[in-house]
Amino acid sequence: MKTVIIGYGYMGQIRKQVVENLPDLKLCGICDPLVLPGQIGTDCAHYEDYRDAIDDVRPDIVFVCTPNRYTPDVCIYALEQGCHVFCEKPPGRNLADIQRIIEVEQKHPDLKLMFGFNHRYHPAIVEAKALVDAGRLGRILWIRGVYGKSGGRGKEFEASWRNDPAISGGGILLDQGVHMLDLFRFFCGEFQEVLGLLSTAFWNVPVEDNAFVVLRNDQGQIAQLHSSATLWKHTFRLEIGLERGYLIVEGLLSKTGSYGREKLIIGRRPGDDEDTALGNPREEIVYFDKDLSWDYQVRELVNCIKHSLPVTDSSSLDALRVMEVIDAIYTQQQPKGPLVAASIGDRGMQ
Amino acid sequence: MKTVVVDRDLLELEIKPDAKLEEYRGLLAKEVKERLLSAGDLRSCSCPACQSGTSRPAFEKWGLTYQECVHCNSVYVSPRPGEEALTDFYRNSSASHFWREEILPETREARREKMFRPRAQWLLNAVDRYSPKARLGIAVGYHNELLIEELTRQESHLFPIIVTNPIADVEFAGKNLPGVTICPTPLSGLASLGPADILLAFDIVDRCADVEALFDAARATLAAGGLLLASTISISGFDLQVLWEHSKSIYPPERMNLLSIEGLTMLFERHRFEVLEFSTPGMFDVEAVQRAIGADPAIPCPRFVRYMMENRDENAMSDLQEYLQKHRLSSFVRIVLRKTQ
Repeated sequence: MKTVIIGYGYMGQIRKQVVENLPDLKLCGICDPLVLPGQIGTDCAHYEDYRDAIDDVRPDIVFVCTPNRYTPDVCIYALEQGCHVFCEKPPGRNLADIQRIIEVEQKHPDLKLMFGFNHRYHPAIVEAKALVDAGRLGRILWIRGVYGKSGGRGKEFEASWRNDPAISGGGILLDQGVHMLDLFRFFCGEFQEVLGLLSTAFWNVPVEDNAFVVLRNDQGQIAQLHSSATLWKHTFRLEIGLERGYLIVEGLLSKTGSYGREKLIIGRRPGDDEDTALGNPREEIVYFDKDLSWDYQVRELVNCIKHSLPVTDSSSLDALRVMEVIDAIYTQQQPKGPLVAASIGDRGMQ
Repeated sequence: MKTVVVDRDLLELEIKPDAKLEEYRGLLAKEVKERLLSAGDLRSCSCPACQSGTSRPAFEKWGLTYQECVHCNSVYVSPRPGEEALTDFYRNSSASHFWREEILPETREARREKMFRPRAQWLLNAVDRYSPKARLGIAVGYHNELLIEELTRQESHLFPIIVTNPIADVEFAGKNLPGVTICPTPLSGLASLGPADILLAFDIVDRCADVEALFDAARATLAAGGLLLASTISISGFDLQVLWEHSKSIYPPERMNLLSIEGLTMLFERHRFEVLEFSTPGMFDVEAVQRAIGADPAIPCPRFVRYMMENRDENAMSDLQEYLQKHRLSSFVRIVLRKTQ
């Protein structure tokens, strides 16, 4: 399958590696007006305008790795030209952006559209999901996540497009917290209520650098997120409390390794006939040494294309639902007054 | 591939009471000479892990020579008794009777709660994760009775299991577990019971006469994508490296194949198994070294290790054991392999 990559920043370069890893895919073009042809490190064609890349190559799959502001236009153009699309998260700057994309997607039911919620494919998450789905630990009672980074080098971080609301649409919640919110949905399904508090606690940026979010669903499951750009030690931690135990995913295999070695802690509530001390149950810690999440997710898209299967994982519906949550939090932000949980979905597509 | 570390409150003494174990070793020493050496039917072998024919003598135990492979550093008995002689030993020796009739009953509940219940949970998790539609399991290893009891207790819809080790009829005497068939079978006949989705090979890699034949049989018995779950003892582990021939965990015939981590990796690759989990979740390395040098100060031991054992508290020992697990340096190995095409 012929592919082009639109946007050759950090994510575009990762996607190039993924395309080169998968025998079904052939990289035929890279588009980025800020990158010189000699910098793409491959002999495929270089373009400055995404429309030229798509018109010229006529690819099967377009990888959209652009800053958020450009995401919907590129997705929509690719779909209108009959291309399948793999789009990085977040799916645009706001709810309206993903709604626009979905409107066009619905006019092309034969095309596949997948979003880059690759954390679902991280080995510790896959393992945790299998344990939850098997049901031996019982039902999920609550879920809690911390996901954050240090921001980076001061001026560089403050000047990044990620902190320019006109381009990004939001701060750390939209940029990184979106992954954790997606995982909450992945494990618990839809949430109906949300309460969020945002702050710009440290960085000189016009978007939030910290977000605290609480969600609740009809099953009574409560989720809590702290998304932060002021965690000086990079942190990924997802805790899941269940009736008969708990799961903790900590660390995240990444290019730099700064989130620590990825591991899954499995704890079991001691049975009544066990003399293990209450409150200090035995644990197993599973360490993982390879992150193939990028490859696995794209392989899933290729599989959907090859076998005409619907995209059921990291789909546009997943993207829409998570943007509804974020939209509710951003809308909720008032300078003063009591906090009231917002209903999710009343502004989104039903 | 993943590595698992366990945090569990268990002392070796709870499952291997010292006095009884000494008596057991005494019986073993006597009967290895009487039953295995005197039969004179010992055969030389190459390294069971990497198949290299080049080795150097490592040490001797009860008349049997342990060789160290110069290629992968596995340690193994050569020359060694064959499968038939071993089966006869496990079935009829007074050492084996002593194990089954004296040690196991005394330690049964500690073993059940602290070893086999967690092992059953781990096993069911692995099946949930990698083979949720498993239709048949075969248990080729030894000492499966408590594990299978726990499996049937924890999972009401467990796949049928055939227990095949050559003395399964003795180990499961008087037991009638739902869905469990006892069918003692030599390795050569294993494939005829398949294809199996799950093969349990606990306590067999280290004691079998022919590791190559075991893995050939495993491949032949497993369905495509089938899982091999196994445990063994590795010479790469801390206690065995430190204590070497003074380790009380090294004794024939149960511990004839002490394969290194590197050797095991070659073994799995040669038999085209994908490694899904490769862990050393052992709990007794540090305790074993501490007890050994405490009991016999003449045992050669690196100065640093001796200093640490004598001058640091149990928190340090527990941290060290966790470190060993985390970096695959404990001598107890646990693996999950998947048969590839």
